[in-house]
Amino acid sequence: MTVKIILTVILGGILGYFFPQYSTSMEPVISISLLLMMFFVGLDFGQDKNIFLQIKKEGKVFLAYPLLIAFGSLFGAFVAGLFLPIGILESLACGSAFGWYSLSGPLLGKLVSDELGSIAFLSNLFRELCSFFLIPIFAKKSQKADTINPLVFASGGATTMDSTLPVVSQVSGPKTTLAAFVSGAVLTILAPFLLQLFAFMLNY
Amino acid sequence: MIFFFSCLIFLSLGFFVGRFFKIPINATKQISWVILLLMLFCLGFTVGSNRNVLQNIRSLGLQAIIICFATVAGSLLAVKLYLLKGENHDR
Repeated sequence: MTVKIILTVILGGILGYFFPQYSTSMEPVISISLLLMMFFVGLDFGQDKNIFLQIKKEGKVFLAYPLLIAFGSLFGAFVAGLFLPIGILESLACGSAFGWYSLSGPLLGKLVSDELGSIAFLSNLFRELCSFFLIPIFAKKSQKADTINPLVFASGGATTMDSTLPVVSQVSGPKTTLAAFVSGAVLTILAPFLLQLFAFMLNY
Repeated sequence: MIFFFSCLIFLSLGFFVGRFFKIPINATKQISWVILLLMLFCLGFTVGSNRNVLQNIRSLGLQAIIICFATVAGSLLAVKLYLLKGENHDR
């Protein structure tokens, strides 16, 4: 599965490089296919009768995962910032987008500098691409479909609410998918605040 | 923002259809797998066709990859430690 995903992205990349004139027609296809897949993910949820009981029972755990993922990302970005020429705060700013490249790139580009905007865009784009590959790998390791496995969606960060959610749904049970959706949603809400906070600290 | 709400609407639409009609899971998984590959192809296409992004990858890509790996590793580590702690707690 991972191999097919990697090959498809690379094939798209190569064709895109040689036929850039068609790239404008790709964006609506991405949006429409994402919406269709959301519909299918919803179908999966609907089939599972106990799903809301599960939320009631494990509500706290559902919120613990995104906070752990956020803390881990920021910690990782801090450590990376110690060694990178861009600096610690800059690295933290990039890490605080949790994979949301379409927000972090333009936002940090506008509020801080073009260079930081580009690094934020790329590092978060890479994170999304990485998680397309990593989600099936981590799902393979755990065979239990009936429990939540947070390792599956930890790499995805904020993207597990939309773009990478179909992959999670494809490789794991509805409970992990629901936890991934909640985690992605919480991180999606958290990211703009953290980005602006770090941008503010960088400017003063 | 509009897209965000469209996602939620489609998700809940699917949820209600799934609740009231019995739909074979295997068929939906196969259909959404094909759509997923189509989306990934288009995603790769837009990145490959964007000269600006490709140029930035050449100059800033290494730092971006390091930040990406560090954040992913950090998240996985945090969750793993939490799970390990839970296992010890259960014993």
